[in-house]
Amino acid sequence: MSRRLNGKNALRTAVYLVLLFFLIGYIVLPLFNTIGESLLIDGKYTFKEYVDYFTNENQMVALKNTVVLGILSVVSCGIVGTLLAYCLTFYRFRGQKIIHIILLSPLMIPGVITVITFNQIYGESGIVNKAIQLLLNLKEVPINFQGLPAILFVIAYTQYVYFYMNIHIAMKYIDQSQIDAARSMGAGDLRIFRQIIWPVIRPAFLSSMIISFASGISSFSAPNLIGGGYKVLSTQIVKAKSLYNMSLASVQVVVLLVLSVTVMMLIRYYENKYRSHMAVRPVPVKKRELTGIKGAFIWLILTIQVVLVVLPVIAMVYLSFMTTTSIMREIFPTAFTFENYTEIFTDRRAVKPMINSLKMALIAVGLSFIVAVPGSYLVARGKEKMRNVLRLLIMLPWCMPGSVIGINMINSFNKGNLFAFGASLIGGFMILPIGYAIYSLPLMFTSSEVALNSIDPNLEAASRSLGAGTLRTMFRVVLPNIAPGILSGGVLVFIRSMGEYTLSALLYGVHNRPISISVVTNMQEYFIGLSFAYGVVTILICYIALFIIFKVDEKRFSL
Amino acid sequence: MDYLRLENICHSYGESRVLGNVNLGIEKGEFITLLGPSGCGKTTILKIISGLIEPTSGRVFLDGKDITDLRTEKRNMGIVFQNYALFPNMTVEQNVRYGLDVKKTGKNEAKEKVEYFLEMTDLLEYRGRHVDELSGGQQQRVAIARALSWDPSVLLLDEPLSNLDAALRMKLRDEIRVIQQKTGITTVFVTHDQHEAISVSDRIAVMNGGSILQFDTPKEIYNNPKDSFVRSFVGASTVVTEEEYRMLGGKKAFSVSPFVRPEQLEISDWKGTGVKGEVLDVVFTGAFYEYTVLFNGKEISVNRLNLGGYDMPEKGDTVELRLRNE
Repeated sequence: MSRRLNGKNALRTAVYLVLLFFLIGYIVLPLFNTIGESLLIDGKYTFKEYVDYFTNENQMVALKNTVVLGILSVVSCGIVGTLLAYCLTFYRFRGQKIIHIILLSPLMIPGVITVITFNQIYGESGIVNKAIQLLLNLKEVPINFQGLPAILFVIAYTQYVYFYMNIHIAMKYIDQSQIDAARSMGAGDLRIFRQIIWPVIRPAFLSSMIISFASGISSFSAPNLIGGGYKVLSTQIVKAKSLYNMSLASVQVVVLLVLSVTVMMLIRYYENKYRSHMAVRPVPVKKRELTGIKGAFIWLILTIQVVLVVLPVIAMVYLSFMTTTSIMREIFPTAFTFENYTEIFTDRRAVKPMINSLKMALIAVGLSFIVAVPGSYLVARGKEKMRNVLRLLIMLPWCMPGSVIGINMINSFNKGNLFAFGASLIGGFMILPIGYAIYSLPLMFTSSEVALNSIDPNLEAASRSLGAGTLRTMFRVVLPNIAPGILSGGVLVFIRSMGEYTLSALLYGVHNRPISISVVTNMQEYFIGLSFAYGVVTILICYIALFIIFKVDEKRFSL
Repeated sequence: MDYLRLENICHSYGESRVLGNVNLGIEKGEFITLLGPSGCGKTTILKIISGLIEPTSGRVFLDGKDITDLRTEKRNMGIVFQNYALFPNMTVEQNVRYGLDVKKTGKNEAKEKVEYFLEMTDLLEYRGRHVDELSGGQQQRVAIARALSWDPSVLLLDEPLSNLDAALRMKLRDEIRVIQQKTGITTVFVTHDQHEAISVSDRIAVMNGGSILQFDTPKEIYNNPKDSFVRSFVGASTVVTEEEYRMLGGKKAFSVSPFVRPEQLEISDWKGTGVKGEVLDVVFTGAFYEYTVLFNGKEISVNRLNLGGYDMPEKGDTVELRLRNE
């Protein structure tokens, strides 16, 4: 190592050590604690808990259900998302930009709120359900909005966005001149799809598959609230935890983690195998008009989707202005009131969850920022060996469902912990924001890494050549130029944390009850109007955040 | 004494050796060019001078002081990068001020300097613009103004013209030379373009395969190459034998095998006084006729100035070749 680099290296080493301290203390060790907990019975290590688990019929049903849900999530989201991306890329129609934004918007609505609203629309006493019953004069409601179909419906509706967004972006790299060239040589539609379009969108398709599968196997709010007995791993984990059976919860966490990691690695393998070769400067595809039967069909798909997306939001806003009695007694509630809003904004106990969630989401953004931004810098510009270690540690939570992170935290911070400077975090305020930050760390890291890789490394050389030291270069040159990417990452983290439910259900306490828990408990205690008012406020906050992303990072989200 | 000196510089990236024992001395105020094909190590030398790369071995001296262990930010160099590397988050003026701010130059002095260099590079009216609103040529001038504004000891230019179109390239090439003469700054210019190198430099270091083959004035490099690579890389030439050279009327002594350049040969109709050749091909380029003549079983390139006449030797004609001697 050279003498002249010493000063810089000291700073770099210090940052490495601080990052490693937190990554090991908050991600790696908690994971090992859970594995340990799953093996430890009465002070001895044994596989007994695993043997019990794998021989328990009930547990095996939940495991099978989880896998089925994961696969069906990929299939349903893949179909919906790809179809929509195709429509918006290859056809031209009025209001395309607005439809694009509407189609992206489920990303902004926390899953738990969607589930509750859907239940109010399609559930047993739901508006749509009742309306159809009245209209057709049926004896019973036509839709049984429960179990696997209901869960799948919610997942397809909320998670198609990843497929849609990724494939929509990938389709921008389809080269019209290649399509024309193939056509001039006599290729038909099928061949063009297989040989020109598919190779371009395949990486996006595979990475969306990972996200869909992961959200399928880790989904908690839908199975928990409308599952109707459809058990999956995440609900079982939360149940085991609530029965204080931490060793069973830990076994299930390990199983869920193994499942998630296996599938991710499998898909990653194919992703690496089929790296795409992009056209150097693609000519954008020629958009066709919507005409004929095909046009009508596409109109129909788009209309259904837009209605599906918009209806819950309208319903929620409408219901938030209704009295709870009216919602419960009438099929079409009409008793208008501001009560719900006055209550959540004036009653101190009711305001608290909103303030908690806002505070915790902001802290989570801050924490993930503090780890991810220096981390991504060291990964992008650092030495090879350390680079891979750091990247692996930061990306580790990517394959951890919320329930896994939650149980890991409980197993590690239920007593004084060195990495929390001797404190026990469980029951305290900080446990949730820390959990949210861990959950979103990979997202923040990726945003920051993409931004860093897109700036010219010579900028730093130029700054140094003009006499600027490391810190000035960082704050005057690097950070301002990656700010849009970091900011949009931060907004995504904020939105995810605002409505997060799984981790919250596992880790909340009296001091940090978040908005998502309030939405559910108010619903369960039949303060339905109040619950929707919370939902509307959350969504409003998320939309404001969305608006900010659109402004700062137009490239990534624009049509 | 040399103002900037490289002593026994070697550099390798892992297994592959990029520079092998480079020695180079540059005088204060001199404009020198590192010329060579891509991959010859010229940019690596520039980065070693600026401190962006640390040489595997060897020392760098500036004004008699060993600066090898000094970090880039302490070396006081002005670098113009190939892609300019202007700070996109700043305006033209903020870019040019950057080095002055780092040096904590007084407000008035900084303002004066910024204006002086913006004026020199013809950018005053663009001072408030963001750099991405400028054309390539303007960006390139901002890069020069930024590099010069903080009084660097040496100006380093890394292929600064390669991203510009031909006409602009010539214009900026001349501007760079004028600015250098006005400021008197010691300058190292890296290029693979021999015309650029010849027209701006006080001295040229021709490089290949990680070594400097010849370091001399442009005239010496052109007229008296010390190496067959230098001869072939700078200007067009045909290698001939000693005997053929004498037959063509040449009198010079060579340190490499004898060669003739197209513009040094005279071509005319066969009158029986020179050596005989046959025209294989002729290309009209406007200012010149470019002939390929078969002489003694060898294809020789000859240029003939276009003086406006029409009665030129054509393909298949037998012609007379002779060296024009000074």
